[in-house]
Amino acid sequence: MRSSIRTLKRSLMLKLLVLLVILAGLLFYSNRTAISVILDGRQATEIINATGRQRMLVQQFVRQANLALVGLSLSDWDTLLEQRKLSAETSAQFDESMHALLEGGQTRLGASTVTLPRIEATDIRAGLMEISALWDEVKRISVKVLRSDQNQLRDHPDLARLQSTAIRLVAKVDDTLQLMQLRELQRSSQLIFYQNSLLLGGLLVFALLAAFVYRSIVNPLAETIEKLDQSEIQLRNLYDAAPVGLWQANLADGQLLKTNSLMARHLQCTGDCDEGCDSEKSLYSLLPGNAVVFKSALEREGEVTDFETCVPEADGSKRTLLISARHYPDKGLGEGAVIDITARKRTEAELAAVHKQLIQTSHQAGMAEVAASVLHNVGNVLNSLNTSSTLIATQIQKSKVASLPRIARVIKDKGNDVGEYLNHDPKGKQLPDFLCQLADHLVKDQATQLKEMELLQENIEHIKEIVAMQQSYAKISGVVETVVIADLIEDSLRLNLGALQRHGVEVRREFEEVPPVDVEKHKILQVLVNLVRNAKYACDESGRSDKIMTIRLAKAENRLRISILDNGVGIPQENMTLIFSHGFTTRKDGHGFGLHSAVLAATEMGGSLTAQSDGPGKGACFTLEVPFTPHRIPSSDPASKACMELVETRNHNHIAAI
Amino acid sequence: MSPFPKFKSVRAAVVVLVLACLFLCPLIHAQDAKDSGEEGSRPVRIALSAAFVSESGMPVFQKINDYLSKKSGLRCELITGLSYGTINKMLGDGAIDSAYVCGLPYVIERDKAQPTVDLLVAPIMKGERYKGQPKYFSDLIVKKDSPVQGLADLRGKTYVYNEELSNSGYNMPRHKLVESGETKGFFGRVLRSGSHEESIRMVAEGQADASYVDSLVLDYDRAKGLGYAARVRVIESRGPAGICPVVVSVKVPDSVRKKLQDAFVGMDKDPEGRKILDEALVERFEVVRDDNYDDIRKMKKAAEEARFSVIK
Repeated sequence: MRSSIRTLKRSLMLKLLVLLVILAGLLFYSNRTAISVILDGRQATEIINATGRQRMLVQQFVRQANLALVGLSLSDWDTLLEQRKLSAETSAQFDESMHALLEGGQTRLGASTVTLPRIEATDIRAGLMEISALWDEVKRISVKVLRSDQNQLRDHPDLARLQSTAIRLVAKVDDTLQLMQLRELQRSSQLIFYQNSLLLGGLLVFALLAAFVYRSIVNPLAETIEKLDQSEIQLRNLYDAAPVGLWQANLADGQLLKTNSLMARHLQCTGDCDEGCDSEKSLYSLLPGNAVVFKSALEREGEVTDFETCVPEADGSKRTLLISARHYPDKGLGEGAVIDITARKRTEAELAAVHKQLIQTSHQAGMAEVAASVLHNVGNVLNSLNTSSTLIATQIQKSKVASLPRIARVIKDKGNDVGEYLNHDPKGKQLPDFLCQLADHLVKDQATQLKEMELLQENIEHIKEIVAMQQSYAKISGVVETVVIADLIEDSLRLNLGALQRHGVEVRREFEEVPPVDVEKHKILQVLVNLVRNAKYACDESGRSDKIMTIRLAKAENRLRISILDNGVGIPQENMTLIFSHGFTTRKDGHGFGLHSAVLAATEMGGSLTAQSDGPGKGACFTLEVPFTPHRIPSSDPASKACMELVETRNHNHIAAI
Repeated sequence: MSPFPKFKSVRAAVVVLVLACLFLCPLIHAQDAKDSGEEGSRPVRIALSAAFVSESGMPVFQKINDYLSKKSGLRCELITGLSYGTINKMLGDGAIDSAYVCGLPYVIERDKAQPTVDLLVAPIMKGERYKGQPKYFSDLIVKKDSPVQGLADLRGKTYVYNEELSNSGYNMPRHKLVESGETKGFFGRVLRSGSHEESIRMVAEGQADASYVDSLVLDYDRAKGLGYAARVRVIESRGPAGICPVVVSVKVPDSVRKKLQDAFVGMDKDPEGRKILDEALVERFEVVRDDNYDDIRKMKKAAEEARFSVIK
């Protein structure tokens, strides 16, 4: 609206300016023309006067020439010389004026000197040229006559010629003067015409100006006022119907000067607060306990946005309002908007609960993955356990220890004849050798069983460790911990260690030096366990003898990047977009939840999980990227120092292993 | 009774004489000053006849006149537009003091029983044909596109001359006719123009078929592009003859004529004067002897002896 008013104003001013320029141009042109006509008239007068002076000079010259001739004829030399001199001066004056009239220039006119323009009018110029020619003839005759001797003066033919030529010259001057006066008259008429034109032009411009004012100012002004009225109504309606509470208040005491209907509802007013709200209602009634904070913030910053306040309701519940305001210090006023965000708050709380639940579900899902892995490992160990116990049982069943009671009964039955029996009886003579062999068997069995029992005990310890690890991750869900990422990678490998060894997968580590970071440990582990297991499967399914899984750890700017590469079966291009979908799997015993939960976990951490493969048989690379948040511990903290030292040592070892 | 007072002693007579001298000297000096054109007296009038230059060329002689005033300390006034005869009369009457005249009027006035003029100086012209001598020529001119090739072609034609007292315009052609034995009537018509400049115009405009004109006037107008000089051609030159001199009235005091003569003669040595002389196509002014004009005298005498005074 403001910009359109500006545009309108600019347009009006422009039009007015154009009209004024036209008016000024007309005035200037008329003035210039009038001045030009006046100047021309003055010059024309000067030309007429100069030409009139030529007439006088001709007559004067002839008179002086005649007097000189009288002096000559009477031998009155003084008269002759004086008149000759005067006629020469007169001739010079005539020549000067003639030159000024024909070519322009200065000439004397009475006591003053005037500058004449070059006369361009053909007829006048022709007349002047004729005058000039006649003047030359008069001069020539005059010279000729004056050069006569005294005795030749009587009946001198050139005397009559001088007189007649002078008369013709004067007549020509008169004719030219008449022509000049006629032109001057015409010029005067032109001046009158210009004066009239000026008046008419002025009237025309005035009429144009009046029309312009009516059309461009009065009419649009009326329309604009009408539009403004409509606009104000619309604005009022919009103001009232605004989905936010709008207010204007005196900042000193919070007295509301203007509110819309929603604001009135917020204030629980009953009427329209257009002309000022109920004096008891103050803006600060919406700010119980934090009005001072709000006011000081507004006065300090000049603007407050999203100031959250809770207003207790009559039923004991609370409404949450968001207040934004702008301060106008020169008027002592504040203006702003109030939004009821109670519903939003409620929704946000619900959303948070859902989110929490989702996280928990995800965690559980992740933990299920880990648990599956744990169970798988535990199962493997249990196989070994079973083998060992079966072996022990078989050995016990096959043990020669059952011969010992029989030998004992024989020895008891012989009583005192045991010696005779052992020395002379053929069976008795075989008994010591049999006992020696039995003893060897029993010692051997014992050794075998002890070994199996140790294996049994080791496997039981292994199971205990796996379970303990699972328990340790299971109980720290959602907690950000400071961890050494390399250790976490090692844990994930350890959880899959049995399977990796059994399937002969070589693990290569390419770890960059990375300081301890603050991450959700269990989520990283969940993703890594999943990725390691997938890599193992991929390698195993490829059937190749050189199964290699490479784990890279790197830091890129503010991201931490863990890549797990395998040279396994690879991923067809068509599956690249599906592998992270819930339920998608290519394995017979797969459930399609592993990568899905892994990508969710990565997203929850503000990171990403991406896959890359050049196609079937060309292996794959899964990359987990998470924000890099280095753990900052004061250097004086001995625990942190120990942690850093540990990291450095481990990193060094990893690098050494690579 | 003696009209003179009688002094009682010689001493008193001497005192009276000294006082009288003191009283009379300024008057005498004033009279000298009046005669010499100094401040308060009549200016030294120098007439310029049409023998030297046309009316259009007068400004350069006005410069010479101004130079003379400046160098001589005399107030000189240049007078133009008079006939040779009038100038002679005025010189005789003392109405003018000096004049640039034609050689023939000088000879006429000089050869009178009571000469009215003396030679003052004469110009030496710059042109090659003048050969550094105080001589000049009379050029026979015809219209540029005229078929006339010589005087012989002008029989029965219209001849125009400037003045009867002109040497170049009248005396020299008259002598030519005398020499040619054409004294019975050669031209068809003879007109008087009043000046060489007017003669040139009349020939150029076809009002006359030919004219003998002063070489000084023709050369100057041709060099400066003045008048009608470019519209005529010279078919014959007569001369050389004694150049038009500057004369001085015999009534002019010696002191004045000396000052004028010194100023004239010194012009070519003075840068300012040199510049003016160059403009006037004059090499220098120098003092000439009267016998420089004997050739004019001879031509005049020949015509008189042939009783052929009027060209016809």
